[in-house]
This record gives sequence, C-alpha cells and structure tokens, in this order.
Amino acid sequence: MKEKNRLDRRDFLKKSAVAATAFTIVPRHVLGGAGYVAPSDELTKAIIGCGGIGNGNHLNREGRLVALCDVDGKRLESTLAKVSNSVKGYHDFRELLQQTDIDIVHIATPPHWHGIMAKMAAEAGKDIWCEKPMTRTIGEGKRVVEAVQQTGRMFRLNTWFRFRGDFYGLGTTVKPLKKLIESGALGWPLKFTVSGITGYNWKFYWKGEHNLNPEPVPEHLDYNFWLGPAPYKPYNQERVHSKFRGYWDYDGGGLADMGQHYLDPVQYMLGKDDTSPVHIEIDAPQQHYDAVGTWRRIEYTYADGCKIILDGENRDKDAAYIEGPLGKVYRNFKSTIPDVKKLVESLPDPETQITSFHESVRTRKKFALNEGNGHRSGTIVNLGVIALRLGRSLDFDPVRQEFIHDDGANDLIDQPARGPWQI
Amino acid sequence: MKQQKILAVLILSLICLATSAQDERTLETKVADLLVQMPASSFEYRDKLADETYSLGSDGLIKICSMVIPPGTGDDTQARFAIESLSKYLSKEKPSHKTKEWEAICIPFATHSNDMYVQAFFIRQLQWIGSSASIDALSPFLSDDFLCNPAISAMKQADPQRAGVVFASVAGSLPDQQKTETVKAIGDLKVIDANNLLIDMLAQDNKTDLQRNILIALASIGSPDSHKPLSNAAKASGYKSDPESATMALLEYAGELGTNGNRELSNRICLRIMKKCKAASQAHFKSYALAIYADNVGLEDAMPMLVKAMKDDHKAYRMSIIHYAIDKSSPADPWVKELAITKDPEIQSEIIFLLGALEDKTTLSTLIKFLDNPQAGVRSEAVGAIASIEGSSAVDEIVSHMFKYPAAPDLTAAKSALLSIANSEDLKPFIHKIPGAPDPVKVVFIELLAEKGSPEFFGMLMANARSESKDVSYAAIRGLQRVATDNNLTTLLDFLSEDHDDLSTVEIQKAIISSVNSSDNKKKHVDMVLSGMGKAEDKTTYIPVLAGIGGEKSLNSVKDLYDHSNGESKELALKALVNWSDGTVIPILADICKNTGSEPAFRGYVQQVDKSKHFPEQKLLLLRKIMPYATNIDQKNSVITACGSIKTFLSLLFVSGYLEEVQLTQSAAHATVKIALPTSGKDDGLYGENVRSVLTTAKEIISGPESPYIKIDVETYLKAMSHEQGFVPIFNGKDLSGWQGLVENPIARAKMDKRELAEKQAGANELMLTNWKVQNGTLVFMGTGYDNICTIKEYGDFEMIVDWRINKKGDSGIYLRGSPQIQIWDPSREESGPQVGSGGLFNNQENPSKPLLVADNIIPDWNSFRLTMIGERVTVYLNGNLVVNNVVLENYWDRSIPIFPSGPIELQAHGNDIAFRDVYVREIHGTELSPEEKAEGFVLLFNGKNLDGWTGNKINHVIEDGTIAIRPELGGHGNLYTEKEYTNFNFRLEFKLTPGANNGLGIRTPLEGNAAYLGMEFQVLDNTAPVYANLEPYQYHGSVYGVIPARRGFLRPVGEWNEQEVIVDGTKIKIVLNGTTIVDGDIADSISNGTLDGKDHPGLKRKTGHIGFLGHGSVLWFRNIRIKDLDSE
Repeated sequence: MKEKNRLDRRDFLKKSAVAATAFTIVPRHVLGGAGYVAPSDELTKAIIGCGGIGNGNHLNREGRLVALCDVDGKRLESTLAKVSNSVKGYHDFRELLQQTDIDIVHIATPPHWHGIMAKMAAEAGKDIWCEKPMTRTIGEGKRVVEAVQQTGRMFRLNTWFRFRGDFYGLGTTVKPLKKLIESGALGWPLKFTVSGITGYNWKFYWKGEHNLNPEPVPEHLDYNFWLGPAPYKPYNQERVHSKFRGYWDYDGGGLADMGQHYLDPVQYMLGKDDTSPVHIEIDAPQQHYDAVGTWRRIEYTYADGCKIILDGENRDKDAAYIEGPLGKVYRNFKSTIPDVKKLVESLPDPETQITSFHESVRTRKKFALNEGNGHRSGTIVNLGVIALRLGRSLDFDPVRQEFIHDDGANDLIDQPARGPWQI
Repeated sequence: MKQQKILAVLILSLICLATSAQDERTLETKVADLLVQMPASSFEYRDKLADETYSLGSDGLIKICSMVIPPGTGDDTQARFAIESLSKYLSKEKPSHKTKEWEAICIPFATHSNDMYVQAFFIRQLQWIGSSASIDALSPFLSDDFLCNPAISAMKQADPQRAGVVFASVAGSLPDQQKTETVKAIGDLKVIDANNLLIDMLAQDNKTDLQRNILIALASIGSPDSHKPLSNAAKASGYKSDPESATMALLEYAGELGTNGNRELSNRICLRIMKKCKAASQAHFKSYALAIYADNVGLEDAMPMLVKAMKDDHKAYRMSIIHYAIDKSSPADPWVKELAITKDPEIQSEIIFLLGALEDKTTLSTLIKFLDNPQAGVRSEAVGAIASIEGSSAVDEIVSHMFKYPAAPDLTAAKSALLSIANSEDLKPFIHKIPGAPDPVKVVFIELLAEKGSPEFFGMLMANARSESKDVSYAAIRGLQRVATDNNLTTLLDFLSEDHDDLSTVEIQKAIISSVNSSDNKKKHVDMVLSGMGKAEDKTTYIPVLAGIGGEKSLNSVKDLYDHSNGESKELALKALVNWSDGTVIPILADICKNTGSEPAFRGYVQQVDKSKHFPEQKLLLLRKIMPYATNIDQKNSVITACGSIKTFLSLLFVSGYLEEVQLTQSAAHATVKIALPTSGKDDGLYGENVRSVLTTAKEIISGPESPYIKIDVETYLKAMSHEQGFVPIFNGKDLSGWQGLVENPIARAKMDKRELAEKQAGANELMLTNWKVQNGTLVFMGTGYDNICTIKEYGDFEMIVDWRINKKGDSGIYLRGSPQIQIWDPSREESGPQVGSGGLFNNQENPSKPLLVADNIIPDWNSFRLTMIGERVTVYLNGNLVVNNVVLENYWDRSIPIFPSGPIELQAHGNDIAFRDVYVREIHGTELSPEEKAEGFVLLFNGKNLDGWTGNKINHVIEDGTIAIRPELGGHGNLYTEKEYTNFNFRLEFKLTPGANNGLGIRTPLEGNAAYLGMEFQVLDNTAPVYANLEPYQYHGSVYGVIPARRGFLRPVGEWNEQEVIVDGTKIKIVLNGTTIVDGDIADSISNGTLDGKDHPGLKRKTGHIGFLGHGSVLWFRNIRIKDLDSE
C-alpha cells in the first residue's frame, strides 16, 4: 500500500456536526469537533521544554495547556508565570507523562531528547507533536516509528512546508510544483538543488566553539538531566540553551536545524516518503569531534537516479531548484516550460491531507506529516550528518536502513545513550 | 610528565611502527606541521593527513596523544582533531592491523591518563576502532560512576559477544547507577545467560529506573523463564501506563516471543492484555496486543478479530486497527460485510475510509449505495472513498452527487474530491448543467472552473456574473480574473460600467488588468481602456485599472485627474499613482511630495523606487533626493530601509550616516549590515576600512529578534573580510585638505625646478581657496574662470566613485593622472552636438571619445560616476550605466607618448556652477613595477595572471586575484621554483599568512631534493601559532633555516600583507621585513664551523640556484614578486 493512500482527505466530524442539525438522532460521541468546542471536549496538551519554541507562540494556541516541563527551574518558573494557574509544572517529563488528562505532548527540547520522549509518550498513550529535526539518530527515528504505530498514536512533525506556506525564499507553495512533477512535464529523474540561489539559506552560524573551558553549572539548571542520554562533558554555557545546535552530542548545526524544513517538501515532491537515498557524497572541511562545523556540499542520490544537492556555499550560480530531462523550475516558479502556470492550473490538485493536528487526533486519521514520512525526511538530514562527521561518502540500504560496507557509519545509526535513558 | 614516560614505555613495549626515513624534519616539527593543518579544508585532504598521522609511527602518535589535556587547562583542539580523524579514518574497515596498532596506543591513554575527561576521550576512540583487547582493558571501569558509560558503549561496539559475557558476570556486584546502565546493555545485547540474574535482581530491587531497565532487558532477551516476572509486573501495575513501563515490557516480550516462534505463549499474553485493557487510557496497549496477535496468526486468521475491533467503544482503538489493516493491505470483503451490519454512522464512516484507502474496485458497488445514506457525514466519506478508488472516472458520479445533495458537507467533500481528480477537460462535459443547478452547486462549480483557469470558461463565468443570487454572481466575478484574456476586454469594460457593489467592482477591475496584461499587443488594449474611460460617466472606476496596466498615456490621464480634480477623484488618482505598475510614476510622486508633503505619495515614492528596475546607483540617488522631504521618523526609516537593498559603497555610507541618529539607529544598523554582507550565492560583500568600521558600530547597536544571529554573521564576515584598505575618501566634506591648486600641466611642471614649482604652487593654492568652497559636505566651484582642483597625492591604477551636479549649460570634467578628461556637461548644449551625454573621454582622437549612451539625470539632479583607470585604459559607469568600456585614454599633453603612469586626480572647473560630493578612491596595486623600481633595474617575476617563468608544482600553486595562492588540498606535491637561476640578488615580495602557516623561500636551490639543506631556506612562518611555541630560534620567520636566527616581532597580524626584501650577496644575507632588518648575517662562519642545528647544509656552499616557495601544507599568498640581479650592474 502506498503511503499517500493511508492519508485521509476529509473531516468526518465537521460533516457530522452539520448533519446533526438535520438528524438529531446522531449519537453524542459523533458531535466532537464542531466549530464550537465545549470545554470538556477541548483537547489538552503539555509542553516539554520551555526554550525558544516552548515558551512563545505555542503556549496559548491549539488546545488547552495543562502542563509544562523544563529541567531549568528558572525557565520553568518564568514560563509558568505567563500561563493559567491551573497549569502544572514538572521537572521530570516522566512524571508529566503519568498525568492522565493530557491528550497531546508537545516535545520542544533539543533533538537529543526527541526520540526518547516521543517513544515514552507513545508508550504512555499520548499523541505527539514533535519539533524538527525529528530525531538525532536514524535508530531513534526507527524506534519512534515502531512505538507510534504499535500503540496507535497520532504523531505530527512540526514542519509544514509540504502542505502550507511559501517556504522560505522559494516564492511558491509546494502544491503547484508537486502537480507539475506528477504530470511528468519535467521528465524523470529529477535533480533538486537546495541553496541560497534557489531560495534557502543554510544557517551556517550554528558552529560550535572548540576547546570549551569548564564553567560552574548554574544553580537553576539540572545539567545532568539536560544532557540525559548525551555523553557527560563539562558544563559550558555554549553547550546549552539556544547554542546546543553547535554540538554533535545534541544536534547537527544548520543542517539539522533547517534540513528537515527544506528537505521534507523535496522528499514529498519526489514521492519518496517511504524510502531513502542510496548514496551520499560530502564535500566539507574536517569536522571537530565535539563541535559542529560548516560544510560545502552534500549530494544525495536515490536508487532511480533522482538527486538532491545541498549547495551550502551556493557554488552552482545558475542552479535551478528542480531540473529534469524535459525542463527546469527556478525560484518564484519561473520555468523553462512555456506557460507553466497555465499548465499547472489545468492539472488536478494533489490529494488533500489532514493538516490540522487536532482533526487528526479527533478522527484518528494520520496527519499529513507523521512519524513515517517524518522519519524518512529526518533520515536524509541524519545521512548528511553522518557523512559529515565521518568525512566520507556512504552507501545506504533504504530497506534495511543500514550502511553498506561501512562499520564506522553503522556505528552511528544508533549512538550509545548514557544513564538510564532507553530507547 | 612522569606519567607520560610510563605511558611511552608501556606503548613502546607493545609495538614498533616503521617510520619514514626520507624526511629530515625532526619529529617535533613533523608533528607541528601536521597539527597546524588541522582542521583540513576537505575530507580528501583530511584522509591524506590521517594517513600521514598514522605513518608518523608510534613515537609520533604517542606525542600527539600526550597533547590531549584536561578541559580548561589549555588548547588541545588540534591534537584532538588529529586523533579523532585517525579513528574515523580507520573505522571504515575494522578490525585491521592498523586499527589494532592504533587501539594499542589508545588503550594506555584510556586506562592510565590522570583526568577522567581525557580518559573518556580515548575510550571513545576505542568505540570507533576497538576490538576484544578493549574489553579486558575497559571492564574495570564498569564500576566507575563516570567512566562506566563510555566504557559500556565502547565495549558493546568493540566485541559484543565478549562484552555481554563481562556485563553478565559483573552486573550483580555493581553500584546502583552502574548496575542500571549495565542491565540496559545486557538487554541491548540480548545476553541470554544473564536472564536468571536479571530475574533475581528484579525481585530484590525496587528502584524505578533499574526495574524499568530489567523489564525491558528481559523482554528483549525473550526467554520463556521471564513470562512470570513480566506478567506479574504488568498485573501489579494494573495494566496502566507506569514509570516502570511494565505493560509495554510485557508487550515487547510477547512480540519477541512471536518472532522467535513461541506464538502460543505470545498469543496468550496478547489476549490477556486485550481483555484487561478496557479503558480509553489503555487503548494503545490493546491495539499493540492485537497487532502482535495478528502478526502471529497471520492476516487471514486474524480478520475476525480485527473486524470485531469495530465494535469497540474507543475510536483510538478502532482507528489503529484500521491503520493496521491498511498497512497490511487487508482483504476488503470482511470489512464490507461489517459495514453492512454496523448501525453507528461514525463506524460506518471509518470503514468507508478504510475501503477508500484499500483501493479495491470490487467495493465500489457497496460504496455507491452509501452516497444515499441519510447521514451527511457518511455520504461525504463515501464521496472521498470513491474518488480515491476510481480517480478521474469518478467525476460523473461525484458531479451527480452534488446535484442530489446541494449543501455542505456533501458539496465540500465533492469539491475537494473534484479538485484532486479532475482537470479542466474532465469538467467541460458538465458545464451545460450549471444553468439548471441549485445556487450552492453553481457556486462550487464556478469556483472549480476558475481554479482550473481555462479561458474557455470565461463565457460560463460571465453568464453567472449577472446572476440574481449574490453568492453565485460574486463567485463568478471573482473567478473572471483567472480566466480572462485580451479577447474579453470589451465585454469586461461594458460590464464595469454597470452598477456593482464595491467588492465586485474591485474584482472586475482585477479581471480587466489581467486581461490587458495578458495581451501581446498591450498598447492597443490600453488604448481601448482609455477610450472606454473617455466615454464613461463615472471615470473613477477606471483609475485603479490604469494603475494596474500602466503606460505613458494612462499615467498622463491619471496625473491630469490628480492635478485638476478634488475630493474623492483626487484621492483615487493619488492612490492609483502610488500603486502604479511601473517606475515611470517616480518623478510625479516626487513633485507631489515636495509640493504637498503628502504621506501616501512619500510612501509610494519609496516603494516605487525600491521595486523599480533602475540601477542601484540611480536608486540611491532617487532615495537621497527624497530624504529632505521626509516629514517624520517613519518616512526617514523607510528611506533608510529601502537603501538597505542597494548594495553599493555609497549606499552603505549614506545609511551608516544615520547610525547615531535617535530613532533611526535600528533601521540604519540593519541596512548597514544588509548592504555590507554578501548576499547568498554571491561574493558581493563590501570591504575596506570604512566598511569594517561602520559594520563594527552597527553590530554593537543592532537589536531585535534575529539580532543574535545577525551579530554572529557580522562577526564571521569581519573575520573573513579582506584587510585591503578599500575605498578611501579623498575629500573629507569639511575642508580642502589633501587638495591643491593647478600649476600648468604635468609636462610643464616636470621642467620646473623645485623653487619655481613651489612658488607657482603657492599662487595656485591661493586661487583655489577663493574659487573652491565646501558647502554642506559638498565641494563647490564658486569662481568664474578655469581652475582645476588637484589631489596632492598622485595615483596610478585606481577605482573612483564621485557624485557630481551641474547647472544648465554646465561644463566640467575629471582629469585622470593630470590629464583631460572624463567629460561632464549639459547634454543639451548645442555646441556638443545632439544628445551626447557625460562620461566620454572627450580629448581622445584615435580612440572613442563619446559615451555609449546618454545616462545623465535631469539638471540639477545629482549624478554618480564609478570609474576605473588601469594601465592606460578607462571604464566609466554613469548612474549605473556603462558609458565607457575599457577605452585607452590618450595623452593630451604629448600625443606621441602614452598616458603618464601616475598623476593627480583633478576636478575641472569651466566657469560654471558645479558641485562634487562623496569622492572616494580605491588604489589598485599589484602587478606593475613602480617607476623607481623600473629605474633601479628590477624586473617582475610574477605577472599576476599565470605562472609563466615558474616551474615545479603548479597544482597547489594557483592564481587568485593577482596573487599566487598555495592550496595544499588540491592534491599536488612539491615546490614551485623560478625557471631561472639567481646568484646574487635583491628579491622583494609581499606575503599574507593564515594562522599557523608554514612555508619557506628556497634560495640557490636545485630543482630536486630537500631545498632547506641542498640550498637555503628562509623561513616563512606564523610565529604566533601555539603549535610553534617550542621551536628553536633558528626556525622562526625569516631565519636561514637551521643556520641564522631572525629577529621576531615584526610580522603584521595574520591575514594582513607583509612586505619583505631579501638581499643575497655572496655569503652575506640581509632580510628586511616590513621596514625592519630581521637578518643581517654571513653564512661564511657556518660553512667553516658548522651550523646551529648541527646538521649538514651542503647548500650553503652553492653559488647559484633557483628561488622557490617551499610549501609545508599551509594556505598562504604571495604577490608583487620582483627581483634585481646584483651581478648585472
């Protein structure tokens, strides 16, 4: 069965609600999800991680907040001060997961926690809203997919460009591009170039400082818990809060920060939601063992010859965003295909998907970007990170999800976790 | 130190690696040379370095390992780079003899270093390359509270089998935390022999983390013995979600049993869990259990159980079973049967959703019946499922459905399905049905047609645009713009003249605009609109149309309306001007701003300039022109922000002028950064001392949500920015310093003696002071006659920026190297002939003297020149337009010779009111000898373009921007030498280092062999690099390597250019670095009495040889290389 067929297109509950006005015999439980939501019917949520994502816009949007968690006491307190008194504060997310009135757990921690927390949330019977990148390793991603599917939970990865928004500098939504590609007008295989030229700027400032000096741990921060599964290295403020992307132990720099935003739509447009590239080439300077550095170029090749080029330093000055044997598409939807906009308008739209997570939770139909396709686009990011850290080209088996003839690389699919942290 | 020795002995007794015999460098130097290249700029080169690291042999590797120190006690970054790289490099194929050798070196550092972080670092190396040897070495650390974890990780990957045995044997006796972690590892490795131990531990211990890990480990091992303890734990938890994860562990256990063949027990567990888990909060356990059960018995046998799940109260459970059925491509039939008997509309909908996803065509007949279900929700689900199964062949069915159930949610579902499956061709056959359709269906159909955008649908939309139903007519009117072409213009214009509400009028106007703009003959259609407007009673409805279609006539009629009307018409006209479709409106808006101070006109002006197609220089002039008319802070900020998109040096100076003005600082800071930093994909960042200074200020000031990132970007750019001086102001905006009066001409001046020239100069300066004044930062000529103002400094090659302004009949020019001239004048002057603009090389006779086009702004607006004078050729841009393209400037003073190599820049005054501002010059140095050097007999050794005259390694030595760059990563090897040999000479060059750079000047060397010994090597080295802290005095920069030490402390900071002169005469050596003599010695002593380094230097006796660059793997640059042969005098 193809992935896209699993996605439903309609909103049962909305329709049922309208029906209710005509047929009053509809049972009570069908009535959830009408435009008006009774307080008792409202979905509840908890946010783990009160940093940049978890203390701003998300606090009072989509669902009633009932719990917050952070291992930094100061952050937890200042975030609790912004919300209703009834919201409970937790230091340990495992205690939060035992709170019975939470429907959705929003994971807004650094990525080295995403996998463990998502899996434990699924095991505790919660639905999951997870920030990007989905997981820090490919192995963790596999575990999350298993756990979510086995327990029948709903999962949403929080990047959205495959179904909404003019993503970054590209100057068009994904929908017309998807239609154009599916019409075959560009031919096959396709090459995507993701660079400043085509509208995307890799955040190259996520570089870690080398040679950090140990500093005293601030009193309000439980640094040991913050590290969790990551190796214990001496505290330095560069490592934590807002700087963590500069260290391999917690994330993977600009590639991990922005990669899934940029690559998830590509994966969707190429129809590769259930597979991964088979070959990865890397061009970058030598990488530090602890701190993330920059890179110049990463090239992914799929089994059918489709390619994704991450052109980090914008070397291909004339690159098109999409290039096929029959035509090219540049940013702002400029194309070598004459009257491309007219052509696209005459084509059918791609299948509609569920793009409201609350609808997904209520109807139990999978969200447009869920654990399955989210793991595959996260895998592209992680393949790049592994090639970068190792400093060599890699061959990957997308079915077994293992590297071919490379023990060192396979060691990075699952990375050792410290302490009691189990995934 | 003691510890290091012990380590060294330990290791040496273990192995002995071969070392390279060829290389004469000491091990210390080899290690330093290697480390200084970390991090390598490419992975290819990294691998080469890793290979070199490996071949240093055990002594070298131990030396590097010994450099790893506890965090916070110093900088060991490069050593760690080297170590980690070697591990990664070797990790691809393990175990090999190389990984074993490297393991043998790492183990003592892992076990005996005296800092736990250093130990952990080496243990992590063993994780990459370890083998069974690491198991024995690391097992003592299992009881260590800090090293336990890295040890477990390394052991697991080094030899899983043996690691498992060790874990099982020690787990019971470990402290709590270490025990918890070891148990986890036992589970990961599925150590069957540890099973009973774990069961015992479970009974004894009640710590949550340990319990959880034991349960999970037992589950993962999957021994039949674990059934009881796991079941009991789950039972004790009440099959609820608990911190020990007991139920999940039991489920994982069942899954493990199922995969390993013990299905009977597995099924029993699953059925029990399904029975016990009745609450909504347990639904996820129940669904997992059913999935395992179904996996065990196979899909066919599981079908009854799966279908029965539809009777469950909990939606989460039902839907997870539906997802399971979809995943496994379940047969459709059993679901169809269940659908027939279920009464609950919600469950009906769920099964219909499943059937749609299964895409089984045999279910269509069933699904079609549900199109008439009394429940709207069920019907809508059926619409979606049918569309999913049938694709475009379902269009007919779904259209009929719309007619039958002409209300939401059926209509919404149908619309969404049709968007997905139908293209415009598919919809055509149904168009004739629209007139008879109920209104809501009409609306949906019209929206679909508009969405598809085909011009054929115009008729149908137009017919509905006059519908009596407001919904229908508005949907149709809104759709017109998507299907209208120029053929529909007349119809649309007529339609516009009818009565409409405001919303509809706006949509019709948009349709007319898109109709005209789609035309191939736009002029004709614009005329049609204008003539329509002429006839119309209410002309105001046409005004927004004119703004959208543009054109000169349209503009004039709107301007006319603005000038000659009042009230609403005037307001509408102004609105149209502000929103005009192109930049032709800019002068009109400027006049309105000046005359009325109108807020919208100002805003419109700035936006229009911003989006216009003018060159950046012209945009800046336009924005600077409007700035004085800004009446409030917002307007000023909008100008500054718009300048932020103009990437020119003058734009940067303009906006940075506001960095310290209250309420403008933020926009100025953001604009400054935006202009100066490179745009992505381009190398167009600005550089120079001015740029550095304003960027530094802007970085301090900038705030806002993205500012931490911007600051990082600025810092990064400042580090990478060229240290060249860049553009330098030659007029300070305050007085005439740096300028002097004109004395005759260069040839006449050259003939004068010093006293005569001084006298005449004094007179000329006096005249200058009366004729030239500084007013509001501009340089103005107030005199009447001819009096040029000249720079005191003389310029050879340069780039120049200058703004100028003249009056009617004005005439001026810019003299380059004291010679006329780049012309500036009023293009309407009759004597100049028709329409010749400024910028031409007026006095040329052989070469072109007229500019390529007229690019002057209207007098008295400012104009902007950007010009280069290189060699004898001149290029000029006027207001961004190229007007002189690399043309030879002839010598006006003596036509028999080329233009002088250098001379003053002069601004000409020709008896008319004229002003200059923002005069900047960037000198271009490089590839030409100065006249003095020419006279002294120097010749160029490097032409700035290629390596003619050089021999040897031309792979790593490449030309970059007029320099020789050394790029070690390009894969070549060896040195670069002059083709000629030199005996006694004066050799001058400039060089620029990178941190830790190491190179050398080979003197009197042969083309083969080690130049430092077979010839002489004068060191080129970044003395400040930490890795070179322990060199011998005769190894630092400038030293005659191993022979004569140089004085230290005269190198400029890394990244700046250094100038060096090397005089080699017989046995005498003199080296002058940046003006200071750092070596002044004689090698005669060393020849007779031995050298400082005690090594044999046969090269000291050589009388002649090549000059070479002796690379040691570092990036650096050389330029301006010239030599004078002392023997030819």
